[in-house]
Amino acid sequence: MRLPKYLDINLSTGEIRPYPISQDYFSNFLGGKTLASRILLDETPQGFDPLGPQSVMIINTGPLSGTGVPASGRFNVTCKNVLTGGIASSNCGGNFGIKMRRAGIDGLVIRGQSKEPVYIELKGGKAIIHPAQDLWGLDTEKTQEKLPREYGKVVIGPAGENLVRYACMVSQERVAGRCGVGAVMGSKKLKAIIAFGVAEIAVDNSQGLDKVTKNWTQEIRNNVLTSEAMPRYGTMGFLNKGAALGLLPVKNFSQSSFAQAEEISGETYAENHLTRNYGCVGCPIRCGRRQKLNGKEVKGPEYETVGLLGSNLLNSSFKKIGNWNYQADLLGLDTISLGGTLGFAMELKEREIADLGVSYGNLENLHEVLEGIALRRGKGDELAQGSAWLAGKYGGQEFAPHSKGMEMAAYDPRRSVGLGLGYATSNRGACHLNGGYMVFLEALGPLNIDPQTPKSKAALTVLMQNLMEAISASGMCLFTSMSLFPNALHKLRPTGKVMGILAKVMGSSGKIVGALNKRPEILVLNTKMMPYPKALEYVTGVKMTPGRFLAFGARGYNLERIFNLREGLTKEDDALGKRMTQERQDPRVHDSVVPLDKMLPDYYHCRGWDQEGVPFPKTLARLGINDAKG
Amino acid sequence: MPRVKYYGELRRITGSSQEVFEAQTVKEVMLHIKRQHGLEAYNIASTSSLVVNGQNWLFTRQSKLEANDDVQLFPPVGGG
Repeated sequence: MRLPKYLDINLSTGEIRPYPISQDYFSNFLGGKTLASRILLDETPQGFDPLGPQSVMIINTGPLSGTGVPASGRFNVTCKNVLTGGIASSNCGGNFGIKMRRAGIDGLVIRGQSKEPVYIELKGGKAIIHPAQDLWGLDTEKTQEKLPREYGKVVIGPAGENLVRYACMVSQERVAGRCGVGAVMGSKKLKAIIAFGVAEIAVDNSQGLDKVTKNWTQEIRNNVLTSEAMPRYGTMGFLNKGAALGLLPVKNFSQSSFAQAEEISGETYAENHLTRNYGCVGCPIRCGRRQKLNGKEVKGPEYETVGLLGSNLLNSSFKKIGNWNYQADLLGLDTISLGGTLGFAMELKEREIADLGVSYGNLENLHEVLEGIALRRGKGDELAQGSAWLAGKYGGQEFAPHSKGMEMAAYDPRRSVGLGLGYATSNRGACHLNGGYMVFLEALGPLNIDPQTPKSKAALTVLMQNLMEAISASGMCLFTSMSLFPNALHKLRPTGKVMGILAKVMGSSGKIVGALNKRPEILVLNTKMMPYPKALEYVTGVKMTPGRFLAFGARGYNLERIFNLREGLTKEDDALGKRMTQERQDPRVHDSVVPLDKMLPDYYHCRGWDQEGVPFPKTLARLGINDAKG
Repeated sequence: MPRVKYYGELRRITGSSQEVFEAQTVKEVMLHIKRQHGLEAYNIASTSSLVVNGQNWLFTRQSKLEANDDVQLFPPVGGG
C-alpha cells in the first residue's frame, strides 16, 4: 500500500516539511474531506479564528483522483467555516486535483499567514513559495492567465483577498464555492496554488482498475441521466420540473411559483444561449455549459445560480444571470450564498427593515453591487457578511434563508422535507449535497417517495449523507451517483403499478435502512451497479466492500460533527428559519412546511447520537474514532 | 380541454412545448402523442414524470383528467 504524500506548509515561517499520513489514518479516513476533517481536528485548537493565524486549511485529493476512473478529477478544501464557525468542506472539479497528484503530492496542510501576498508552486513532490504582489488585486481569470499555462491552478479573486465571508476558490472555470474557503485563503495572503508534474499515480492493481473504469465509463455513457439529460440540459435541466413541483426558490423563498420559470429553464438555455457543453478532465458526463457574453465564450450558469440569481430575485433574464455568474466567478464570490444574501436583503428593503441598496424590481445596479461586495465598498461591506449576519444586525431571522449561518441551495425544502432535514443537519450549513441530496429521491430521480411525509426520511437522509460523503472522500464527482439508478427504472411508467409498489416500499424502508446505517458491514458483495469500492480496492490494495465504503462516509460525517460540537455548535444549530418550519409554502397544501421537530429526533437516533445531537461513545467506538478530540 | 406541456427530450422530439387537445384520461393523452408524434415520443411520454396542476401523480394514483387541467410531462432530468 502506497501511503499518500502530504506537505505541511507554514506561511508564517516559510517552512515546508512532509506531513506523514499513517497507515492507520489512510485505512480509516481514506482521503478527501474525511481524512481532512480528521487532520483539522488534530491540528487546530478549540475556538480558533478561521481567518486568524491558527487557522489551518487542508487541500487534498482522494485515492481515485486522477486515476482515469470516470469523473475523478476532484479535489477537496477543508478548513473552519467562515459563515458558520463549524466545519468547511468544499469540492471542486477542473484539472487542479489531477495536476496536484501528477506533481507527486496528494494533499497540503497549510497553516499560518504570510505577511505579503504569495503563491505556492507544486512540482516534483516539492513546494516552493513565491511572492505574488503582482497578482494581488487581479480577478480569477487574469490571475490564471498570468500563471504558467501548463500548470493546474486554484486561485482567489478580490472577494477572497477582502475576506468576503462567502468568497470562493476558482480552478479553471470550476469553483470550490461554499463556506468562505476563498476568504480563508485570502487571510493567509495566499493568492494561488499551482501544480505540474509527470508523476505516475500509484495503482495497486492496474489491470483490475482498467476493467472497472471501462465498465463504469460505459455505464455512464449508457445511462439516460448522465448520457442525455445532463450533457444536453446541464444541471438546470431540473428547473422546469422543480418549478412545477414548488421546489424553485422564489422571492427569498416566500412564494411557491414563478410564472416566468420557462424563461430561465434548461430547455430555453439550450435553445437560445448554449454554445456547447463541456466537461472536467476525464469526465464523460460533460454537464458544463458554455455561452457567449459580449462576443466572448464563457462558462454558463449552473442550476443553483439560475435559481438563486433568477427566480429568487424575481429575475427571468438569462442575460443578466449569465453576466452576474461570470462576474461572480471573476470576483471570486459563491453564487449560492450571494443569491441567498441578495434575496434576503431585498426582502429587508421591501419590509422597510433595512436598505442595503438592493430591491426587487431594480436589478440594473447589481453589477455595481457585486463589485461593491467583493471590494467591501459602501453597503457591499455588509452584504459581504451573508444573510445570517444581516439578520443578526437588522432582524428577520425567521425568513433568513440559512442554516447554521450558510445560505440554502436553490431548492425550497418545504416541498422536499427530507432535503429540509438534510439542510438542517448538514455539517457545513444548508447544503443540498452535504445534506444528502434527498431531493433526488423526493422529486428529481426516477424513484420517488412522498416529498411531504417525514416517514423514513431520517434513515434515508443518513444513508444518502454517508454515500455522498464517501463518494467525495474517494475523489469522485457526486454526479456519478446518478448512474447508480439503472435505465430500467427510468423506463417504468410513473403511474403504473410497479412504480407505485416501489414508491411504497421505499417510503416504508426506514427500519431496514436504519439497520443498514448501523451495520453497513453486512453489505459485502461488490456489484457493477456500485463500482466505487472495487475501484478503491484496486487503487489502494485495501480490501473494500460497499459496507466498508459507506462506513467511511459515516466516519467522516461524525468527525465533522465532532468538529462542529468542539467549536460550540449545538442541537440549536440543526435548524431552519421559521418560514421553512411554520409558514406554509402553498396555503392550499397543509403540509407544505418542513416538519423538522418530527424528523430530528429520529435522525439523531439513526446516527447513534443522543437527544442533544452528541455522538454516543459507543457510536464513535464502532466507527473507530473515539480518540478524535472533541 | 387539458393543456399538455412537454419538456426535455419530449419537447425536442415533438418539436412542440405544449398542445391543447381533447383527452379525458392519461391514457388518451398518451395515445394522442403516439398518433401525432410517433412511437419514440410515446415511449418517452409514457415513462415521463406526470405532474398535473402542480401535483406529482405518482402519489395521487389518478388517471382521469378534468377540462383545463395543466398536464406536464417530464422525461428524466439532471440537477445540481
